[in-house]
Amino acid sequence: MLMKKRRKLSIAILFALCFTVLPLNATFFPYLMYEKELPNHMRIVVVPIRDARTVSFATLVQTGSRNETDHGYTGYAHLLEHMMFRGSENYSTEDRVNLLYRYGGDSNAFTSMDYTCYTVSCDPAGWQEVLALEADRLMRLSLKKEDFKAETGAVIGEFGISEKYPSNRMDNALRACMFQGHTYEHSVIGYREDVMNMPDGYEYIRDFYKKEYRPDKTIMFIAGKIDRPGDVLSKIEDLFSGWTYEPAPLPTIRPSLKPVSCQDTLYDASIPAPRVKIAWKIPGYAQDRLGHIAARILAEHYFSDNSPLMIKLRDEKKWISSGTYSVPLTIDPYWISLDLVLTEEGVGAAIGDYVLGILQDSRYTLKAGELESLKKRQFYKTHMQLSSPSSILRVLADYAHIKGDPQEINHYFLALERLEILDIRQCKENYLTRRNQSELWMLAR
Amino acid sequence: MKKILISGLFLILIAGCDREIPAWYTYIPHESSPVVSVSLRFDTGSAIEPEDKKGISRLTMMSVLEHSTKQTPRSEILKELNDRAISEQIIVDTDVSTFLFRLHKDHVDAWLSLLEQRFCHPAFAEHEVDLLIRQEKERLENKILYRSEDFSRDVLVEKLFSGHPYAGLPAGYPYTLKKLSGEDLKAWWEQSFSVNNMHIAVSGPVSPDQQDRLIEILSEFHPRSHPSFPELPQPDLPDTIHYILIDNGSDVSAVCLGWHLPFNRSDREFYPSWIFSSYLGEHRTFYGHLMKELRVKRGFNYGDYAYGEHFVQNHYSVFPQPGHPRLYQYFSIWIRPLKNQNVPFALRLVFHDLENFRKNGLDSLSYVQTKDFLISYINLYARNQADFLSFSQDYAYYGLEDFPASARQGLDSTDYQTGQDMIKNAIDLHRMVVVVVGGDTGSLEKILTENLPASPLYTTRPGADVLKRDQAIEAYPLPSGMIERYGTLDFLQKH
Repeated sequence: MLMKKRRKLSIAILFALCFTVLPLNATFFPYLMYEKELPNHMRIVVVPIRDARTVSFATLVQTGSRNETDHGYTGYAHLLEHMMFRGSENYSTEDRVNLLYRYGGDSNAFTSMDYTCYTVSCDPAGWQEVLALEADRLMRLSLKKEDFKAETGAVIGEFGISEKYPSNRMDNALRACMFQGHTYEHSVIGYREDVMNMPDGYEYIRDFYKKEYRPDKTIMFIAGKIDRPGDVLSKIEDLFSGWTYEPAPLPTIRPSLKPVSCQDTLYDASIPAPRVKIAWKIPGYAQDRLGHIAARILAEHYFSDNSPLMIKLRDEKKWISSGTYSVPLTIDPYWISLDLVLTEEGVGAAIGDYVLGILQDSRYTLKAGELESLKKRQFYKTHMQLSSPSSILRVLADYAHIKGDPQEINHYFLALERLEILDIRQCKENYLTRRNQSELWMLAR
Repeated sequence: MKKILISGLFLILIAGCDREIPAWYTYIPHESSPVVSVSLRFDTGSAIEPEDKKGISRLTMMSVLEHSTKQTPRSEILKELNDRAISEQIIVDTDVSTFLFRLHKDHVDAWLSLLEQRFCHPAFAEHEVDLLIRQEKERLENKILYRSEDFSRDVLVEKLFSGHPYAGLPAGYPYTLKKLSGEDLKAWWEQSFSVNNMHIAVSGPVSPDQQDRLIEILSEFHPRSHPSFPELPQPDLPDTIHYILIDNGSDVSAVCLGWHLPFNRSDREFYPSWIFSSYLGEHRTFYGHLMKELRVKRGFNYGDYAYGEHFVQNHYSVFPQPGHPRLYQYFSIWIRPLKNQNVPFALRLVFHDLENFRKNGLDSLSYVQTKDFLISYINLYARNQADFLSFSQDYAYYGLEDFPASARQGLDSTDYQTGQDMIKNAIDLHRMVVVVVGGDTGSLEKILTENLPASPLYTTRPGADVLKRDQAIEAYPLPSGMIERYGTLDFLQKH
């Protein structure tokens, strides 16, 4: 008996030695991470969390709307995400629901521009069965025609919910202009016409699943109450051993950093307040990690709620009532976008020029001390997001999606640590320029 | 029904402490995390706000957190908070109002200073309050115009509790917000928020000295104010079914409906009703009966769910947000946007099936499976330790100890047969409110008035078994009731 225990312990230590990335002071991620790549190139990451009462899974597939390269078929990564809940060879929809139900499971998913992520959280007693369930749909999705047709109705319903939001309409219009020729030009849910034609896309989605869902594009993360991470790794290896890697060419998606300056106005008499969206094209993380991180720092410096620019626009000029910014972590060049809700005084104002003036004014340039504060801010902000097994996996997956590397979160924060004022200056000079600045207004009339 | 004030319901543990711990203070150790969590709750809410000042609690709390103090400008406060990534949230409901804080242990001392300044010396500067009102007003108008689902649920509560203090929305209305001033907020802060109607729960690595400091700050928080929360009257039940049709000219309609429940989480009857709502459809999951009928089999829409008590989604999760315990509860069903032509059929299906459950209850297998599901599922409710503290305070509101164990006990306390009877009794098909926000409400009114047939419109023809059941549903008479029709502009102008 004792021998058996000792043997188990040594196996666990062996796993820890083989797959662990250590230690805390050398990396950002504060938990022990057991990692393995299978012969078929699928990657597995196990993160035991002390005190957790549940276990969570996040399966990352590196396919999002970015991978929708065929004309007339936008929105299919998202549609496929819906179909992943419609049963697989060994588990009907009903079986899936019943199994998850037995373990009090929450099963959900989301699709972004770059990737799709499937999440499950449940009672730890169910981990083996849930793993088998997840493996089956990744490798053997049913994709029945009648289910497909019914599910397109759900997607059309979802489209109907979101298409009216002013912010979505503005995003779509600006995206179409700024990223022409790249798949970022369309939204994740797809163009209206393509969504309405989805009921006729059955054959296409079968091909899309076969082409995009493959082991070398998949990472499975598991976190929470896990007593023996080695057992989990072995179980996953068994389950996915039959998923063969067939090298096949994927469509080429060519990133472009060519400066672009789009200007347009949308009109809608019913909007409660006019808006303007200003955006700059910035490097994708995959091509220029440091440049992308520098852009994120610049955005926080210039556009956070408390920045001198926002205080001037809101409190001094009284052109805006509120403003938010976003810099999605993307593979290819995307944007820093600044979304401003305007006051009446702001409607006729040259806001774009004013913003550019502040960007070019040396009095507001980021100083070394401020850079260090912003670095710390990002460190703590991300750290605070690591609050539960499911949220830990969401954060890990968001970084890992870029290059398929579960350690990307650590690479990111290492790069952030090394970021210097010179990198920031270069990024600003290259990208926060007039010829790279776009503006879209939405006015009542 | 009972409402028991929170007092000493948590285990109080402060290592090495020889001072007196006030009854309003609770510390729960959670040393394995570097994050400190705080849930600071006041027994005050929108139910006691005057009619013309609805939304004042929320606005006041926002102003306290986000605006300048008498000593420090807003920009400095925000910089301090941002640099430390301190997360602050307010949740205002009818009966209670909560501040939730999450911060790294490195920042406890800085946060305590910020808390003291803001709680004890808020400035309520008029220009900052004006801007906040403008932002909030725009947010509310956007909801009416573009967020038909959220809007429909607001209207449901307003109509269901018409004439009752719960009718006014905690977020207020554009017309009430625009009348408020910094002076109003200041008076409301002093009169409604005090150490004498407060409970605080703290968890995480906080030193005894830091805890002492927190207690010291809060002990001096409006000590001479004694806010009271008057006993709330029983809501009047609707005399019949009320159909509220709001036209926004859209191709799709959001639907929600609900009825009063004569019990809340403190009563035994709640638990079978909770099992029933979960069986019908847990929020944003695939498990429910309604989801299977309307989305999975028929492809009508994105989702269909039911709720055994007032429900607010916790950010982007699928779970309820803590901070919404209510004395008077209601049951509701949410049908996410579906084509206007399918609204009559969806309503008939819901009424048909509810009538069936009212007559026959839930089968024993479904009852037990759903109960077991909830017993595990409740473990997922808290996204973080701050949520956990706040859920614990919710349970204490109902006189229940130890979240989530007491929920599990409640679920286990009723046998199947008794539960069945409770479910049947809890379905009130004759005094409910149905809200539809969408397009072509004229046609819907005609169908409702004349009980006209309306076949479902399918993207793809479902199986024979579904079509057979459709026939029975199509023949089911829509219950007659009062119909009111509005445009969204009516709500914008009224509000």
